[in-house]
Parts: sequence; C-alpha cells; structure tokens
Amino acid sequence: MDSAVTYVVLIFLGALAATVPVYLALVLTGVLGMAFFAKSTMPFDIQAMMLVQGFFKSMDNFALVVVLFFILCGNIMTSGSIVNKLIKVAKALVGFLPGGLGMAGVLACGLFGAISGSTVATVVAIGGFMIPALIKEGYPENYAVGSMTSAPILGIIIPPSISMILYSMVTNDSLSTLFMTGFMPGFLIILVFCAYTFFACRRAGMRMEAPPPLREVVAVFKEGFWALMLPVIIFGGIFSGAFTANEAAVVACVYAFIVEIFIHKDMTLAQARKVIVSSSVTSATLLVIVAGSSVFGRYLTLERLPEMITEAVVATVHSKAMFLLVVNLFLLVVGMFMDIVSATLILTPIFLPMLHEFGINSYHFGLLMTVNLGIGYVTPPVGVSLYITGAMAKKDLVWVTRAVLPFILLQLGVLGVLTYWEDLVLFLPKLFYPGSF
Amino acid sequence: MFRRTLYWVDKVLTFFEEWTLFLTVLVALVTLFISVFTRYAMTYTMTWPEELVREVVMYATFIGCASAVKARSLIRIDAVPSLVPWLKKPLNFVNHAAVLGFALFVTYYGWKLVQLQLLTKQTTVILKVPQALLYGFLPLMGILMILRLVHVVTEDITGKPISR
Repeated sequence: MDSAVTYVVLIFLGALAATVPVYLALVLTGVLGMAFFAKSTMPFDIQAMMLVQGFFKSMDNFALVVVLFFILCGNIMTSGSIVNKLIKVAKALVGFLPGGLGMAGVLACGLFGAISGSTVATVVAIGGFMIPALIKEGYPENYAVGSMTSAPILGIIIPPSISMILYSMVTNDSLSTLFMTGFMPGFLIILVFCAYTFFACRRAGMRMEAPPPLREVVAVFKEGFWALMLPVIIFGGIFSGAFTANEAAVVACVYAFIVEIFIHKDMTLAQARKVIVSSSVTSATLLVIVAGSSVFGRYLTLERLPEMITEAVVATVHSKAMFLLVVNLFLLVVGMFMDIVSATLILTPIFLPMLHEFGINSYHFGLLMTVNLGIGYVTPPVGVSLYITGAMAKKDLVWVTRAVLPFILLQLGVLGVLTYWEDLVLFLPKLFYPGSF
Repeated sequence: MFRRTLYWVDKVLTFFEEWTLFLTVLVALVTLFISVFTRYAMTYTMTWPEELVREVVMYATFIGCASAVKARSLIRIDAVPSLVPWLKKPLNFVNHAAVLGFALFVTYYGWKLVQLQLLTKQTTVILKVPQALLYGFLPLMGILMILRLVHVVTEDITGKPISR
C-alpha cells in the first residue's frame, strides 16, 4: 500500500477514535484524501464542490425511504400499546413451560423483530418491560438482564432489518431475497435461547404449570389481533409481491397509526407528532452516514483500495472456509467498537470483490455480516444494548457483560453454524426467489 | 443576556425543525400511501409521489442531522471515552471543532452549488422544483448546525444546560 493511503486510513481511524461522529469522519477523510493525497490535478475548489454535490446526490435515492418508514413503524410500536399485546400473546403461547416467562421474552423479541428493523428499539421496547417482570417472577437477575440484552439481536435478523436494507443498497442485491435469509437464523436463535432457558430453569427447580384454558388463549389472541396483523401485512405484502419494501413500510406505518390512535386509543395526535419528529431525526443520523460514506467511497475508488485489499487477502488466504473464519473474527472485533450501520456501509464495498474471488454467495454473506455485527450490540466496550439494559437494571458495564456472556457464546455457536451451513441460510430464499441466484 | 438569547434561538429553531420535519414526513407518508392505494384501487400509477418523497428524505436527513447536533444523538464510536473517562471532555471539544469545520465547509460549497443552479435554472424532472431550492438545504443545514453548536458549546463550557 502506498503511504498516502496509509495516512488517510490512519486519519480516518484517529477521527473515529476521537469520537468524531462517524459521518463526519468519513467526509473529512474523503475531503482530505482528495485534496492533499490523491494524484489529481483538479483545483481544490472544484473537487470540494464535487464532493459536496456527491454528498447531496447520495440522498436523492428512493430506496432510502424504507429506512425512514421502518424506523417510524418501530417507534410507533414502542410508544403505543402494541408491544404489550405482543408480550401477552407470547406469554399465552409458552408461559406455562418451565422458564416460560423467559421464553416468552425471547419470543416477544422475535415478534417485535418482525415489525421493527432495529435492535435498539427492541431492547427498549421488550427489555424495558420484561426485565422487571422476570425479576418479579423470581428469575435470577443475571438471567433476566442477560437474555433481554442479547435476544433483541432478533430485531435486525428477522426482517425487516435496517442493516440488510443498507447492505442490499451497497451490493445492489434484491432486498426481498436478502430479507428472506433472515427467517431461518431468526428461528434458530429463538430455539437455542428457549432451549437454554428451559434447561437452566428446570435445573433451578422450576416446574411446568397448567397451560392456560383455551378460552383465555383465544381472548389474548383476539386482543392482540390488530398488533399481530402488522407482521402479516409486512411479510405478506413483500413476499407475495403485492408491495415493494417501500410500500410495505408505508402501509405498515399508516396501519400502525390507525390502530394505535383509533382502535387501541393509546396514542394522542400530539404523541403521533413527536414520534414522527424523533423518527426522522433518528433516520437522519443513520442516512447521513450513507451520505458520508459516498464521499469516502469516492476517494477509496480513486485509490483502488478495495482492489488492493482483495489482492492482499487472496494472496494470503487460500480457502473459502479459512476466509470466512478470518472475516468472522475480523467483524467480531469491528463490532466491538463500531455500530452495525457504519460498519456495514464502510466494509461492504471492501468485502464485495473478495466474495467473488472466494465464490461466496452475497446473500449468505449479507446475513452473516448482520448476525456477526449484531453480536456487537452486546460486546464491550461499545455494546449499545449493554448500556441500555444496564441503565434499566441499574448495573455497571462489567456486571451486564458477565450476565450476557452465556448468551454471547450461544450466539457465536449459531454464527458458526450459519457460516458453514450455507444451505440453512439460503434454503428459503432459493425456494421463493430462484431468480436471484 | 447571552444565555437568554440562546434560549430563545433554541426555542425558535426547535419549533422550526420540529414542525417542518413533521409536516414534510407526514406529507410523504400520506402521498405514498395514496399512491399505493390508487395503484391498486384504480390501477393508476402516479409518478410524482416518488420524486416528492425523495425530496422529503433529503430535507429530513439534512435538517434532522442539524437537529441531532443539539440532541447529541449523532452516531459516534465511544470506545475511547468509555475506557478512559477523563478524555471525555477534551474529546467533546475536538468533536465540536470537527462539526464546525464541516458546517462551514458545507455552507460555503453548498452556497456555491446553489449559485450554480441559479445560473443554469435547472428544475426537477416531474414537479419542476428549482434545483437551487433543493441545494439550499445544504447551506441551511450548515447554518443550523453552527447555531446549534453555539448552544452545545456554551453548555459544555459552563456545565449548565440552557433553560430559562
């Protein structure tokens, strides 16, 4: 690598370490790289204008709408009573088993993940409710906090998923196909977490209770009907081909607003306004990273950095299995420090040429990246979920980290299976979208 | 006096940001919903909602980003200050300097782009919105960011939140 690129990459990492906002670190290094290091004869003024124009133009993209509206949809859910109803449904389904409430929490994360595309929203919505409930029922504190910190990874694995949306934007893959890859891994994680809960709770002496009478289950489902229809609209709409992902997000938002305001009557118009404003600010903080990475990307392409890295990797790593192992380890380390959106946007263009070299399916890789970086939500020092539940349970970082440790191991196990059992991930998408392969 | 001014500036800006964000996003939501509806109910596809919504997303991103400066909700990597807590304060100021640099940069070159668009009188394809207006989001974002920055920096120096 020539020294100019090394300096620019170092400046970039330095800026990130100095807590400069990610999008700014991207823009600043892009501008510095173009102005002082790139071998170009264009005057700085023109270059700067082109970069600002690129920054602006990158937002002129209809595909970005989906980010805004899925965030909005998740936030409507969190502020209204839909979450409550989903938890009730989950409780009615598995609550009577040993460790039933714990499993219900995991299942509720899955249900919520089927509506929301973000892990943070899932932690806030489900964890905020379940952690005190579990502790009140006599579950050990470290189980309650650990499971409700780590199960929300389902938020980004089960579609819709913000990071998958951004990945497919970078790679130009079909979003519906990529979404399809999330189901089996999502079920696998629910299964593994529930099994762990079952055995841990049985060993702790919890016994099976009588299942609730059918009438009660029906009543719960009736109450939760409008909430449960939401994932049906989103998946049914997207996977039947009736809606594009954009349209599904819009319809889901309108539906959620109507349900919360007029049917459940749990949201006032003033609250609705607040939710819209806060969602657009949240989506702005994500989308501006997309804009920033377009500036940085311009510099990277000019310097052919992705190609250089690919050449170096291909020269040292020889097999597909080895490559996947190395990438997984690398991403786990990245996930410890960087959030999933920034990491996906910055790293995907660098990995993309390598996938081709090693014959790795790009949908499979997108799913692996999502799961792997998703684990980053619960690894210190920068695991957002750790801080959120830590604040909820009034515990420090070390305590919460110890509590999530068994769950991190479970997730790593699942990640290993997903990495080397490609068919498990690609079975559903191949069935539904043979044209994408 | 200075704090009082800041307080009122904040009031006005928050009002402006919240209402414009609310209205634009609401309009986008409603138009897209209507366009889905007409496509199914009347098998009629409208072309303008897509363009309108793209413009709304641009507005929401750039103005929302300025608003995030005050809310301190921009995504950053907190590894260093969480490992070395005493670095938090000095790094905050490094941060503010970076935001200031970017705000000035985007205001100046954004404004230049606006002038360029005024010269060529380009408009968008379907709705015929002047491009100059859309590019105006950039300097607007820059100026809002600078104003927000004064607020946040004052809070950081005095260690007190600005309120009445």
